[in-house]
Amino acid sequence: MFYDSADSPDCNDRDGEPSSFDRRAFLKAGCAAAAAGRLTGAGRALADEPTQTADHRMIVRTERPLNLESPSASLDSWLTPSGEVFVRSHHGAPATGLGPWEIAVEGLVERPFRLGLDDLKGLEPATRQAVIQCAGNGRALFRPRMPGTPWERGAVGHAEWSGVSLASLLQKAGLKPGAAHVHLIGGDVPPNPKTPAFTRSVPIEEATAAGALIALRMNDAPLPVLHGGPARLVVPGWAANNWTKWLRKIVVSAEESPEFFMQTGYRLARHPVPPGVAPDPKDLAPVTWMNVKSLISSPGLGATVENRPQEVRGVAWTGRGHVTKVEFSTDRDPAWRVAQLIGEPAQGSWRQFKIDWTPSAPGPCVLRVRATDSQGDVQPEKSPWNKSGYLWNGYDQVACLVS
Amino acid sequence: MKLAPMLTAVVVGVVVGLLYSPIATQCRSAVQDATTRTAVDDDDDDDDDEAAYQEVLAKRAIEENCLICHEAGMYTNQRLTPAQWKAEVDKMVSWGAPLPPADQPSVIAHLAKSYRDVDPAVPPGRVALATVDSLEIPRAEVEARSEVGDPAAGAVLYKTNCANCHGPAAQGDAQGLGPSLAGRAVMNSRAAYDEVVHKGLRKMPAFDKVLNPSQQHDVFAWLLKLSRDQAHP
Repeated sequence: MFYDSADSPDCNDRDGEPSSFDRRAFLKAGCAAAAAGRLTGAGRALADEPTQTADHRMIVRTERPLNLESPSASLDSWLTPSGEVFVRSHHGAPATGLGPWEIAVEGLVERPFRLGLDDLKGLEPATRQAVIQCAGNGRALFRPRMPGTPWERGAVGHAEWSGVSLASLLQKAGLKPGAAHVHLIGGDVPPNPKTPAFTRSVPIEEATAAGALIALRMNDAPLPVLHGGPARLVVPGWAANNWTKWLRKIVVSAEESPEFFMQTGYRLARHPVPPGVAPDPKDLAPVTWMNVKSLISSPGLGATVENRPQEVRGVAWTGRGHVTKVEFSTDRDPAWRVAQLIGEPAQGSWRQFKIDWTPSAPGPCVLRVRATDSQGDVQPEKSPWNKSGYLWNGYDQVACLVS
Repeated sequence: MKLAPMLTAVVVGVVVGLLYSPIATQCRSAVQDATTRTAVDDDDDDDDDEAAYQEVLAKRAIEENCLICHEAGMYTNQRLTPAQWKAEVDKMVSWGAPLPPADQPSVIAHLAKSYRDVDPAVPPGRVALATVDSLEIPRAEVEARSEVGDPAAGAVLYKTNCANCHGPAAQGDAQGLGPSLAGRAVMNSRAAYDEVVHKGLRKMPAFDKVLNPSQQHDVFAWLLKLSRDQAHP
């Protein structure tokens, strides 16, 4: 194992990011935070200064394939630093730099072509600030549990993506009649010939209308290989299962991709069914648009906070449209209060929010937020269960300790 | 461990497993457990030995067959019911995991017992990405010496020495013995390739006595060629 274990018997890790509702983990983190509080000393902290050194280390979900989750501290800014954005793949990154990278466009097109990265840059440039979120973010919060990477809160981030629009790429190739989907072929290689490749497709009209682009840069630097570099698809507002990494080939087709990760994986019943009940296959649709969601970025999980007025901060996002409201409450003070939204709304981006909070008394306290979007959708307390654990958007809840 | 008792235990274990595992899984209630325990009190030690032995076999089967593609965190972080564990193992076998059918019941039983849906999750590790040294992060640094080999000679050597387990085109073996190599992140790390070829890894023997350094260069050169060809299908 290459990482520092969080379950050390002493209380040295300050922001252990335990599960939201895991009492033992919470107590342990509370103990850690109390130790940190001693270090800062009475009256040391200023109102807007975090009382603890924020822990930006990634949360390790699995090492092989490498699946890393962002801690709260990494999500406490407008753009998430690229090195702190969650990492997820099915088969691991491919070898890179062995030769020039090219992207081929073929299938139902008039003029199939293959372009190197420099030539791609000559097409219509596109830049979007957009939320990237794994379809399975929050899977570990569903009960009953299901198999899959047990993401809690941080398989999400917000970055600036720039490259060329998917529409201009398809325009250059010229769509033939009947063209309806693009199959996205990445360079990642399954470990075994029987293992399905991670191949997905997106419907052309909906994806281009959403502003889909082939990103070559992330946060104004070349796209890092762990985030799909040198080229990946970005579909603002859509979950990241659609954001194919290491993009090498786009095949235009009349149909969806017939592959496993399109027809079996990443499909969700339009009408939720309880555990043990198989949804009608005709009711299953690919996971595309995200749902409305919010997250408290400060204080972090299990933090110790002082018993005085302070600011609670976070981020909120949705798929279609934009976030119009974020509300805050605590288990001690359950009436919802409206938080202040920062900046202007932009489709596909997140919005930061803040709200002043005065704890009612020392002791354990659970902070919670819920967002509403321009479609009128409100975060539920718990998401309807689904067998693969997609698109959890229950209230975000942060247990902390008021000193 | 001596070979003969071990083999006997394997045979007994498999037979016992086949005959009694469905019944054993039904005897979960406290009343039934107590009744069973009273009835077979004298055999307790034998049962414990047998259970412990099954555990050893299951762990070994996991290490040899699952860790070809995963690390242990892939299952230690899951909390599933026995039915869910069986479905996961079945899926992995259908995707090429070489877990022999005879080992599947004990592996499923071990996973279902060790990582139960009712147990709390373990706190995850934390890591700064910049400090991660893993083949999961390909480093685009092909050393010049890897270009020295002769891919044509490497193709012949690969076919004789490697293809049986890694597949004829280094796409992995359908029986699951060896993973794919062409186009994978290992091609960015000559050091990692060298280490495995020198020392072997799990079921893979060391090849230092089979291939001389120049031949090892040739095989790597051929794998690089395959990787490049694969990038431009």
